Amino acid sequence: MAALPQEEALPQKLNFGIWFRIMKYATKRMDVILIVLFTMILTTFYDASFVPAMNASAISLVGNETLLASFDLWELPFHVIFIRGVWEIDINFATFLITEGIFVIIRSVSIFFTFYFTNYMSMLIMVSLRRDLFRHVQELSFSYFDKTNSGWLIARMNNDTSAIGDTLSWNLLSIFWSVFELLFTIVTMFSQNVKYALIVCVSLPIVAFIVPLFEKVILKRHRTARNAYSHYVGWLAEIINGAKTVKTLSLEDTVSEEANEIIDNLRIKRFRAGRVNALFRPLLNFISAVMITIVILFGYQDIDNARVSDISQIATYVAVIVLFIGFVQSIYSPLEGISETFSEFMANQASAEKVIQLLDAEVEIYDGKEVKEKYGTLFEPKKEAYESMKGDIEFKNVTFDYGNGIEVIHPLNLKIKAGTSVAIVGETGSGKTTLANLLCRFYEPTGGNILFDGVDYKTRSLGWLRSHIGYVQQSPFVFSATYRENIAYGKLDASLEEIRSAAKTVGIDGFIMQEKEGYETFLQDGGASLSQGQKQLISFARALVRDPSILILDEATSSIDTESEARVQEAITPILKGRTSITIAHRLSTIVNSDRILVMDKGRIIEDGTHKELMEKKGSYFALYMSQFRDMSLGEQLSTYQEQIEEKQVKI
Amino acid sequence: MRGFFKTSWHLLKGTRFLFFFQLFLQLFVGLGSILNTFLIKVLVDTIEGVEQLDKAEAFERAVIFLLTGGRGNQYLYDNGKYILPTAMIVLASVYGLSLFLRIWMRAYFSMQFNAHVQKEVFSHIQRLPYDQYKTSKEGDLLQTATRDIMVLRKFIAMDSANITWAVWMVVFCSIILFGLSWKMTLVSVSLFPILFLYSLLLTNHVRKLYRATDDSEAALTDKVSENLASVRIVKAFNNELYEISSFERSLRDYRNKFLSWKRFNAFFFSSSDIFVFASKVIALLWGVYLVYLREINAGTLVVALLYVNMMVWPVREAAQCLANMGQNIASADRIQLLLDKPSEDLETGLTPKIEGNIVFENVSFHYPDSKGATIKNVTFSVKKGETVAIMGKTGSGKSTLLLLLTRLYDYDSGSIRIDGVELKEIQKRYLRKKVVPVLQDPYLFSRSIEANIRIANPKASEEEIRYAAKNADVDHTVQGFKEGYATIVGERGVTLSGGQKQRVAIARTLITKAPILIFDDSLSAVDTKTDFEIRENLRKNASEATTFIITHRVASAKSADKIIVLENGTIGEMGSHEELLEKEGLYRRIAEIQSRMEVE
Repeated sequence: MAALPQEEALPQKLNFGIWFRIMKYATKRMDVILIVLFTMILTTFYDASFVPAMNASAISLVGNETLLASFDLWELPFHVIFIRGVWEIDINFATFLITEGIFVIIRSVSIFFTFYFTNYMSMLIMVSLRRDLFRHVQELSFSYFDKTNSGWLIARMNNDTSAIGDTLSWNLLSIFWSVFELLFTIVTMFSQNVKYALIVCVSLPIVAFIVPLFEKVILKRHRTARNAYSHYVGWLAEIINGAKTVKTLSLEDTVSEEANEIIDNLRIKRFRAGRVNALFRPLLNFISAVMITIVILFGYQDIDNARVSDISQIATYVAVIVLFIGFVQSIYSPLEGISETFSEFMANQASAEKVIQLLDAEVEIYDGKEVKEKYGTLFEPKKEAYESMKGDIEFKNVTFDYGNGIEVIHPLNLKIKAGTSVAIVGETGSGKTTLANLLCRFYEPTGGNILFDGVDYKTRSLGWLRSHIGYVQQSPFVFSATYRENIAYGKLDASLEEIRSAAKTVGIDGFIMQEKEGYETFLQDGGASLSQGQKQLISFARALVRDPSILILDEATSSIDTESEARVQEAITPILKGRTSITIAHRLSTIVNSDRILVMDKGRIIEDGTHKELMEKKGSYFALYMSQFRDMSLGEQLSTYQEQIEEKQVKI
Repeated sequence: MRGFFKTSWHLLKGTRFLFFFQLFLQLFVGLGSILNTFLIKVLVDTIEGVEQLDKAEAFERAVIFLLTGGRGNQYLYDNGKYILPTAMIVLASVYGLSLFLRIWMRAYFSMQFNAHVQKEVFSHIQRLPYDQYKTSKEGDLLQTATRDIMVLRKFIAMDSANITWAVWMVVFCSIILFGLSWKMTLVSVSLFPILFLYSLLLTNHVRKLYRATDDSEAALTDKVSENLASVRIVKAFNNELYEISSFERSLRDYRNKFLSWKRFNAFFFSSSDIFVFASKVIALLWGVYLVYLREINAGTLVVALLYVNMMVWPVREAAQCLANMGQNIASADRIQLLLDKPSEDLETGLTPKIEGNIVFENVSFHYPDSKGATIKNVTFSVKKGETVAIMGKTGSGKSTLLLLLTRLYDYDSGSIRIDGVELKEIQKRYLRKKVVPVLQDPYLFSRSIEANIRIANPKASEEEIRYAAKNADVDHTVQGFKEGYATIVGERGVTLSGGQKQRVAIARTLITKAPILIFDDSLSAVDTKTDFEIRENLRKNASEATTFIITHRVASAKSADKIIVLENGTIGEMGSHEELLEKEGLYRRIAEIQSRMEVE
């Protein structure tokens, strides 16, 4: 019934190019890398060389009766072999004790630095990636956001960056750690006894072959299980959100069946992932057990020989046997470490690729070189060079397509005088929002020019244009910030007086002042406690505090109920006076008072006039108006008819 | 804490045997590795000579007895090179086998338990009364069904095993060691209590720092998603620089919290490592001293070193698991809280034959969270097969009135009878198969269009689905999609327009062939022509069903047998189109306006 999750395939090969590119974020701090390397070497030395060598010297001492009997406690002689023939030391018990104590401290301090600075690297990579991604996203053009949903972007900027940070820092550490651990172990083994060392080494290739085999299966099955889990969560969220539908259609039984199916599917997949270890662990254990047996068999032979030739050697062999039993048990873990690391890189390669893809996403709308020289860049603007704007707008043969070759605006010529209030109406898809997008230069015309105050806007900077436009979008957006910050977003350095005067103009000042902390009241969760109408008013105030020459209202009241709409309508009428305003309207009730109404159809302007003129003409505008009128609730129909037909003396 | 065990015990129902069995297997695994390690001591003693074996303590003597079949120490000394490796291989095999069983059974138990809890919690969630959905905070139910279950499973399946493992290890290793030398044992484990408490306390603090980091990261994510949601505003207001600097602030806060968490975490590990390694070093040095005094022999020293290593890590691990208890208890509490909520009774009640004659008599209703009544003294009756149009201003109670028929809410007073049977007496499950609404804001599941329609009637044939879609006037639209009825709806597939959604939802309702249908403003997003066609289809093909239509269009209401105009929860006007036109009132006024404006 319910669709089962699709799997994302694992990459076939490691893509070194991508990982090296990300490595650059880490190599900025060579000092940190060196500290990690140094402390990591100390730690692995302690684990793989120091402890076995010290223990071996102690065991071979305590097994030797004659030595024990001939020394005082503190003078007991320890012969410690780190590297045979190169680094052997003779110390007494007192020194032995102190050395052990000091090295416990050294190891603990080392592991502190290793852990801390590896995390530091992880953080550095993650934070640098997040910073670069965020900056880049600020520059990206609109067309990118049309194609990409914000969930995808958030996943890249959060999950992927931290996965990359962790993978790169911890797995690189893990590789080096494993290599050094293996190296120290092998050196110590050969230093203690070449023959046994060779025996143990024989088993290495077998294990090195088996481990990646299991590792691959484990990785794959875990991914499958994880996938099944996120499918389960998604499914569950949907059922909970659709509770009303489930209940009214009495779908409980169907849904329960689905639940069982999905939960059992998850159960089986997780079990399949978990049980691989049931074979893997005992198998490794069994290989160790066989190796231990072999070591003991050889050991017995050597000891039998020693009994005949040199009895004092017996204790050394005992130490060697005990030591190698330990080696056999510990030598496979670095192999596992290396194998796991490769799996991890594989598993996270997709993350890295997607992040790089986002970093490389093309910025389509940008200022030319000359414009940048005069007006500065997006991140370093030269605001003093910005000219003022009167508000004349002209479209000259403007055409546009969204890059797919389908023209959505056909050669369009339009002149709007400064100070006019213009409304653009039309069916969905007629091109009215595209027109607003072109005006704000969210997109650029494919052909023709757009002129402000008689100057092509491409010869001036994006910053200049937008500093003169007040834009109010369809769904009012309220930031999780204070009222003051929300309104000041339109003019970052606005004084409280300016902010209040904007709020007063739209009629929300009284409401804000009633709040506990007035303008400093923090709006949780994007103003969840506010009504749509209140949010809309804040959004208007924000555009107004800019004191813009041009106001663009892009379906600014379409998402609020009619009563609030009427209030907003009343509030903005005085604002529009003396400014050029472009109102894109879906609901016609809002624009009946405009100086000029343009009706768009399939990328063309087909009617142009006032509400009264167009209604009496009984053309497209009339038809549009009618179709909306009938969707109003009864009370609205009554009042709207009175206001917009009777009072305006429209004859129909 | 008692609540925690009670909840866990309740949820373990059905998997209790497995739970104890896999813990029991743990005991075997533990004993296997402890005995195998002990053989190393026997090996060392054997090599040292018969006289060492003669001095053996009770436990070792028992082991030797088993190894030699009672043939004595000399026999072991002579044949050690065969007996000991064989014993080790045999023990390792037994150990391997029990390890295999343990991992297998634990994975099996863990998943079985998890699935069981998920099913129990889910079946409870979906039996919650509709009211509970509206009052629980969004996401809370989901949180309990996912994260809280995960936390509990982790404890029941992993942490509890880690803790018992530590207990087995400390108990068995100490007992064996104690038999060999109490002096050696006491000194070797002397640091364990400190290690345990130290880890317990510090892990708690690590978790606090972690939570602060997590919160800071959530704030950072909020910042990013706010930025992305407001991308138009950011660009239009040319505030990219401002955004970057406020992002930097969040990023810096996160970075600092992250680093202080990790710094303390590293400190925790490295400092508790001191106890771990010091324990081992103390065992070694003290052991050498005891050998020097001839209190113990080399074999005992070796096995003591190995045992200390086998005990010390699990002790630290167990402390960390126990530090988690607060979180486990909170999760178990939330699960219990959910399970304690009342569930809706779908089963009891009558299942009378329902044809569609409905009588409302003085029905009143108010929502639990509001003071005033939403429906006040409503009285009317409908005969089988009739169509009733309900009109009225926003908030006049239109939807509420009709939802009472589905028993999502039960009316406070008065009486609703369907074919003579009091509505409250009818079984909910049965009723909801007979009274099916198309909701105002239709909800489609993210699966294929076909599955979305079929879900209301799993036995429907393909023809029936297409027939329902045709009647809902959506067949043509669906055929236009590349994948037709297999087109996936929603985020992963095609986004449908409001009107398309409404029509799929209508098809979904029609396929139930219910005798009572409710269209809650279900045609608001389609144009007048489609609206008309759908109503015509209904009239022709579902004429025996009693139909309620909530609408704002006089044209839609006109053909209804009865039109009810609701005003503030009471009936303002009622009658046929013609009857209402004769009365002075809201309906006539609107009808006049609409007809005036109809003129082309």
